[in-house]
Amino acid sequence: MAKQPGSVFVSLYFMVLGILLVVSAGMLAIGVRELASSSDPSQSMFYVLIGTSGLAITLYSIWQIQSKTKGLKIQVAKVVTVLECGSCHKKVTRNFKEGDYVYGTGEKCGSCGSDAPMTITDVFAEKPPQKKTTL
Amino acid sequence: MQLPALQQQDNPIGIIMNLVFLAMFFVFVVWGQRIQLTISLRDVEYALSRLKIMRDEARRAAVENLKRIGKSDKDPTYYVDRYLEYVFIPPVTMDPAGVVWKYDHLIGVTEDRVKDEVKAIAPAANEAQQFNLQNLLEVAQVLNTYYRVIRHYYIFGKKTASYFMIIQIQMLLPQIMREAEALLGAVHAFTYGHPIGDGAGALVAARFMHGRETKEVAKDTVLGETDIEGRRVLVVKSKGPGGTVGRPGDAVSAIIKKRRGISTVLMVDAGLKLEGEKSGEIFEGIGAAIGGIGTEKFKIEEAATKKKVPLYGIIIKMSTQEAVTPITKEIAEGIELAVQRVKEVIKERTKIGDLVLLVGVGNTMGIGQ
Ligand SMILES: [Zn+2]
Repeated sequence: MAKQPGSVFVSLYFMVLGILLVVSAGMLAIGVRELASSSDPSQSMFYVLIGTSGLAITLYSIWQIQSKTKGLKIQVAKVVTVLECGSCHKKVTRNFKEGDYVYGTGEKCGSCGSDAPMTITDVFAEKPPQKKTTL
Repeated sequence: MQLPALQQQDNPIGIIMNLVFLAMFFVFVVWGQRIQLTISLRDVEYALSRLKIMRDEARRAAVENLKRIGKSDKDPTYYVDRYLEYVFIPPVTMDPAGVVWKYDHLIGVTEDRVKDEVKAIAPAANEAQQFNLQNLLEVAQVLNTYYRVIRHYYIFGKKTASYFMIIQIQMLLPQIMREAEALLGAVHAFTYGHPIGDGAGALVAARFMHGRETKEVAKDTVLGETDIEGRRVLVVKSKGPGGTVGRPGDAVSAIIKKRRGISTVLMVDAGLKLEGEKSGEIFEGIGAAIGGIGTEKFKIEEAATKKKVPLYGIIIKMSTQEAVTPITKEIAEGIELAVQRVKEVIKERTKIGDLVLLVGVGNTMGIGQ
């Protein structure tokens, strides 16, 4: 999105942020220096105050922009399939394979050697979505 | 308020500060709303760029899966792009009598058309996969609609510099973005055919229907018969494992018409929870528990009212996100709870020997019978 109609505003915004950053830092420096030497602490305190809040606002804005441009994240859950053997009723949980569906048939039972394939009784997302992929 | 710096008139920095404050005062008085507008526009612009990314991703997934599953020699991109711009033109409601049947007809036509086109563009897909591809296309289409509508208001608000236009759309954004994110999450589920939260009702019906003989009673809707606690129970669900909601309304009215002496209609559906409620919780109520545009609900209510059959609903609560993503552990537990609850309700509300109609409503993707 380089040719956005709002890109003029965006660059202006960054310019203002930059100026604010420099001015705030300067104010803070003056304030701190005067606080050490001056006989009027209220004025230097005022500079320190303005300088710190200016810095805070600027850094907050930058952080906000940064977090917004980090990109879109979609959560992909790990889905598992539960199969049950018709003859020995043993339950097996394994990763979901494409084509699996509840009350569909899976592979043969490994423990009793029955010829009939196992029945899928459940398909669900094992854990709350945790793996994140960035688009 | 007396600012210390403002008193230092002899100090050059003080004078500058004074001027700056004065200038800022004027800037905010004159351009205050303009600044607000710019900030709001930035918010909408950000949401818009995200919606575009989501739309493009859903579109890419649709094209990729049509190629992967369909194995057609034709490139599906053109078809997908055309589908994204399809519009449903709703019937006029000035004279509302009979509008349900008009909707019903138009929805049927739309479904058939999309089904035929998917069949043509993805010849290698089996029936279930065709349904899933249709769902995937629908997701991309809805995301495209969101994108287009937000873009419209964004550009319109910007052109007219209308603050109120922009704050209205800004107000709706959290809800829209949440739904859009849920839909994007659904892309993965529709790609592989995972059972989704919305299929909770269908899965409850499948629990009762499994192992019984089934027959198709309405388009993409099956009926099975079983016995629970001495009652004859007719179980209806959409035909799995393809992603479809079937036509439960047609099924219920056909069954009520054909089978005499149905004492109760019991419906199980997934419902949206309110913030603060737990996922997988069971709610009960009276009435037709079914969502959607309203045509199927209308048919069920009509049929039940005509024969004076009581309608009970059991709802499994979940969020928008959970409704379109793979069934979670909590919802799976809710489904088993609902199965127990169905048995209890049948025991409490009907007598031995009664005929009960149980309808499992929802998208049955990944759920057979
Ligand atoms: Zn076995």
